[in-house]
Amino acid sequence: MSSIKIIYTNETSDCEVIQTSRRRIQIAFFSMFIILLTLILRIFDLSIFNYSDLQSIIQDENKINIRNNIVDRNGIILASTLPTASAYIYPKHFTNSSQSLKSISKVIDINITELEERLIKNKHFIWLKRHLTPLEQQALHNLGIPGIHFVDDQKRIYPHKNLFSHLVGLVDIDNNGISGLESSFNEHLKDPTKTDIQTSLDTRIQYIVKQELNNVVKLHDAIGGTAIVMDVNTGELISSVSLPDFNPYDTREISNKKLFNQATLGVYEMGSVLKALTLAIGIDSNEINLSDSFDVSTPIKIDTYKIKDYRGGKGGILSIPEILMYSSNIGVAHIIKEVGITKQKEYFKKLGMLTKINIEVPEKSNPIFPTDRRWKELRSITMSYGHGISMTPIHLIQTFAAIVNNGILRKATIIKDKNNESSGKQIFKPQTSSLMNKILRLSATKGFAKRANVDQYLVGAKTGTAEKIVNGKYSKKLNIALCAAAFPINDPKYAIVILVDEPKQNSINHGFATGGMVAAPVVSSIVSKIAPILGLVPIDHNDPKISKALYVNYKPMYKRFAKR
Amino acid sequence: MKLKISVLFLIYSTLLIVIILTLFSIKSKVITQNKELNWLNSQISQEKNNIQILKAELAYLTTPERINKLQKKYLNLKNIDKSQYQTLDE
Repeated sequence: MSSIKIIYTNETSDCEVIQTSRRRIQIAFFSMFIILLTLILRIFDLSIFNYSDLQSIIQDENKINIRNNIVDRNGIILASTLPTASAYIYPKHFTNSSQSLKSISKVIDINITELEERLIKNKHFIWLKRHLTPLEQQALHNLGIPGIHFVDDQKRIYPHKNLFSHLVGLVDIDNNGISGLESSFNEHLKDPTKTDIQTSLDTRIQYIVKQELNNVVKLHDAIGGTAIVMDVNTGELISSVSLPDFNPYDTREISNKKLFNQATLGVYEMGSVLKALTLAIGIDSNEINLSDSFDVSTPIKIDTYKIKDYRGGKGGILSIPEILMYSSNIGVAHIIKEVGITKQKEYFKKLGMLTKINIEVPEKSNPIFPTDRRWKELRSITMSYGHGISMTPIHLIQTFAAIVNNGILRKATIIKDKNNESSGKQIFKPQTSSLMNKILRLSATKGFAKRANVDQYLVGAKTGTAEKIVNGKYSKKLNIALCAAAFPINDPKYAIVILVDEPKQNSINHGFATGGMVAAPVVSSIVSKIAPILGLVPIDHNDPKISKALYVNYKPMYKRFAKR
Repeated sequence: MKLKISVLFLIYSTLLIVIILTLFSIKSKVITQNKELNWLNSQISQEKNNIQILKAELAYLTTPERINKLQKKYLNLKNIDKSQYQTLDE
């Protein structure tokens, strides 16, 4: 009975049951639909929006950042990178260590005792050897010892070994530059989006220059030297050698002396070579002219100091070109007295002789020059013939190039095409420069720089000898022999500076370890060898056109050498 | 009304399946092409490495020092002399 009752009571609720069940179905359907929708959206998301992320991950894995090359001006590689492998030990898997190490040592060169010590100390990671050759890697692989793993690595190589060691520089074991161009362009070389670095150096010229310098250093038993060749029209260095140099592969036991780049880091008193500058300043400031002459027979006395000439002051009266040709200290002292201290300082400053050079290596020195308080008459005179001011050979070649190159100063660089036409600064008048060229040519044909002369390439040169300072005093025995030259002097294209450090007096230089005897012949031999490579055509120096262009109207007054 | 809903449901679900299938096939194609791209990229970098090695090798072989030794042995060349030059108008 009661059950019937229930049916009755439920008759009205029957509709409700169906309604609730329907609602439930709707809810279930709706939630299923939502899930489906999220799934679809997720598929869209994965296949369309995340696609770029996936791609970039793949690209990142592919990227092996190989360090860019350094090349010379003709694209010849000076420094490059080779992909290599490095082996490491995972000590947990490396069982039976002494036995294994013994068999490894048969294949590659390792220090067993050191490795054993490290195996005890370190439980996670030990380098076995960096930069394996492919043969070594294969041999090590063939041993089949567990716990040895390889990682991709890269090794910097220098095909020319010693030839560019100072300028190109070095990297550490993780390929970070630590000296030279490797250091100053470290970020650029690491960046895979950037290209190789093209230097202005020329491998062929560098090789010849190094050979010749090496010969002369050996010949005169010198302790070192530097030679620089510069394109005067662009300021680019074609070659820069500093001896002694070092082998970039064998860097463990290099002495500091070898690492020292004398061309950029060494500061020297440049001796008589600076007389060319004094003369140029004198002519440019109109304080002297070609018809002037000075009496150089008596030394100049300032306080207790006497300005004397190197081979005694027997010259009598000298004309302006002769003061440079026969390198008279007294002569240039008279010139700088006419010019004055203010103008001298002004020119030195304009020529960048009082500031650091701009060259693209980190190894650079400041020039050493007197303070304003000390830049007085005596100092001004000694500086006129290159004593009392020290600078790097790059400073010197930069200045010398400005004298011969129509008076335009271009900052020395070792990067190709860095200096453009407008980057030069006019320091001297073009007329001054062309007159200086003629006088420099006279110095190389009739003066003390005769040994630097190569007639067919019209070399103009000035030599110099500076006494080294030992314990604060000038040493009579230790010299620096110098020669600065430019060729072809009727339209200078290249300048050379040779510096030989401490040449000894011997039978080859007849006891004269001077610029004229030691450094000048290097200029001559280098010029005759490199000029054909640089594309210079020999010039007939007897050609009336050339003789006329280089003619200097002066009255020869020098007696002693006129007789010789 | 009921028929309408079920037809609509049918259309939607087939459309869904079709879309899922095309998406799946597109994705699988992309994956295979990506693999190919990877392979090509690694091939390119390997070739680049090889070129790098060969260039370094060439640089070693053409160092002036080595060339000078070889020429002394086989050719014995001399420096160029002024007399060897001739201008076109001579």
